[in-house]
Amino acid sequence: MKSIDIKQVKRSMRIDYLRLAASGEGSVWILALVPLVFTFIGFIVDDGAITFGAAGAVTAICALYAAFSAMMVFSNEETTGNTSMNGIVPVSRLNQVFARFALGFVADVITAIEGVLCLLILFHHDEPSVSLFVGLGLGVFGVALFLGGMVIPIFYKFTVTKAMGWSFAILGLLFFAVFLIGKIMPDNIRKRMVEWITTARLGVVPWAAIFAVLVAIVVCVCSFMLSVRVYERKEL
Amino acid sequence: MMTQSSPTTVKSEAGNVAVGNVAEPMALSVTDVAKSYGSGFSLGPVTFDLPMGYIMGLIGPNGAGKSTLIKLILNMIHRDAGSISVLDLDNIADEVKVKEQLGVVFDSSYFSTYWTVKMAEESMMAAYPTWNHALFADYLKQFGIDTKKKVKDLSRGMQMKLMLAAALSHDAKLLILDEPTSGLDVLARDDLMDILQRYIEDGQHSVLFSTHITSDLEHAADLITYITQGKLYFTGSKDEFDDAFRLVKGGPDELDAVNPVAVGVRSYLTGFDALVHTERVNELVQADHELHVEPVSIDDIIRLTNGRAAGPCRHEEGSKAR
Repeated sequence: MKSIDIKQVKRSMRIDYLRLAASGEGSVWILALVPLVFTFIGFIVDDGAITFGAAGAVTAICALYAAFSAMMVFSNEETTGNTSMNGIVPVSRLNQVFARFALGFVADVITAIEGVLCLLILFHHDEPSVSLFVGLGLGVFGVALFLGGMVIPIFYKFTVTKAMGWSFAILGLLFFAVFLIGKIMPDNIRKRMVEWITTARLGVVPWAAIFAVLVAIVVCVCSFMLSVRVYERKEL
Repeated sequence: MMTQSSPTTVKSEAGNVAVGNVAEPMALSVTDVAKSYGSGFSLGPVTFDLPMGYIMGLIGPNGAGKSTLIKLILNMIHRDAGSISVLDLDNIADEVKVKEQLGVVFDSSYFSTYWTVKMAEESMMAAYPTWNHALFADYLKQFGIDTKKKVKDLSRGMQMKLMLAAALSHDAKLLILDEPTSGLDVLARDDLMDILQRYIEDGQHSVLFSTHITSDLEHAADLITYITQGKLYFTGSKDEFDDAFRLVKGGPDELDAVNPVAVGVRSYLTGFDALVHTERVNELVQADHELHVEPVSIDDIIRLTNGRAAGPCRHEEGSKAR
């Protein structure tokens, strides 16, 4: 029967976590706590530019770490000879895929919360609104979800080395496409957009973040369906 | 389909003997299973049954299709035809229930090499609701495996033992072992065979294991399934397998007489070894040829039913060239 079974998902998530922590559980947590280092620097120095720099680093690291946690699971699974275990554990392929997305989702949530906490510490003087932080957190979450969603099917399709190449190529192409659209956009439209972005109030951030999360969710749903299709056809 | 009902002897597709038992609960039923690869290799159709309480040896030379068959049973690869049932459950429709009842050992470790033995146990504990920590600890102790060690730091033999300990520690009803003895020394192999014998004693467990080391079969296997070049050659009891063929030896002059009835021949400058169905040996003996008829070993059967059969051996070719 092809359906999501929570028991099976839990089994597979636990195994995936062990794969993520293959080189030691400590390494997972040390990597996860890297944003705190930047937060600490920004907090100690307490200089506007440094604080903004640290905030940027924290946001980017949180989003990337969450997005690439699934990639790390694939990589550790393949490079340590663990792939064939997927063929013996009592978890259907559908639930194995769901578990991998679920683990990525959990990593996204944790790092988004971590990102927000770090930003709260960095900007504690400015007393920014709660909605701004929620917006930033959702933004981190949305980016992580989007990137994770983009790469997971590629890793199901190809070996890790090939998948890494394809992932970076696709993500690079995506950014290039955005850049190209900006370039070929008529001047008046571009000017209006830049004006809108630069003059928009911070209150827009949460709405923009919600929109980003919604887009990311759509990407993830499509990505999940594609991953299941690819993985069910795959020979282990 | 070849049933395994004891006095019955049936011919397989390859025209060879297959034997079965009386209707018993089946641990594994493989029916007309076939699988083709783009490379040209095709397996099957393969049909055999493994009743509960038996050990079946899956034998055949390299590339015969043993691992392919095991992967088909585990639904790791997709079959082109046929059906497989494990403990009366379809291996695809009831995949999860089936896999909860299976213990598997591959020819190389499926645990992450970066995991410690403890982490390997955690993965098994997560996967199997019936995981028995105490039993696993006992096996580790018996096998001398240190739980703090990483899998990559264990020898190949120890990695096999770790997989075996895992396979035996969640009350699996059917063990599927792919070349489990390949990394083990003779003592460890004997221990493994003893463990397998004890494992099936209650009649509620079964073992399917593929091996190149046919001496293992002498100790433990009740049933044999022999696959060669992707085709099922024989399935049935080990005794029937032993009795099905005779090794016929003779001088070069007798070769022409033996060739028509031989299943496989290996010729030398001084004579030949021929594999002949037991029921056809009388034809040769009555024809007044000077032949030696001997019981045949499993290795002889594999050797003589593969490729080199009718042609001259390399030694002879080399001699002619000179």
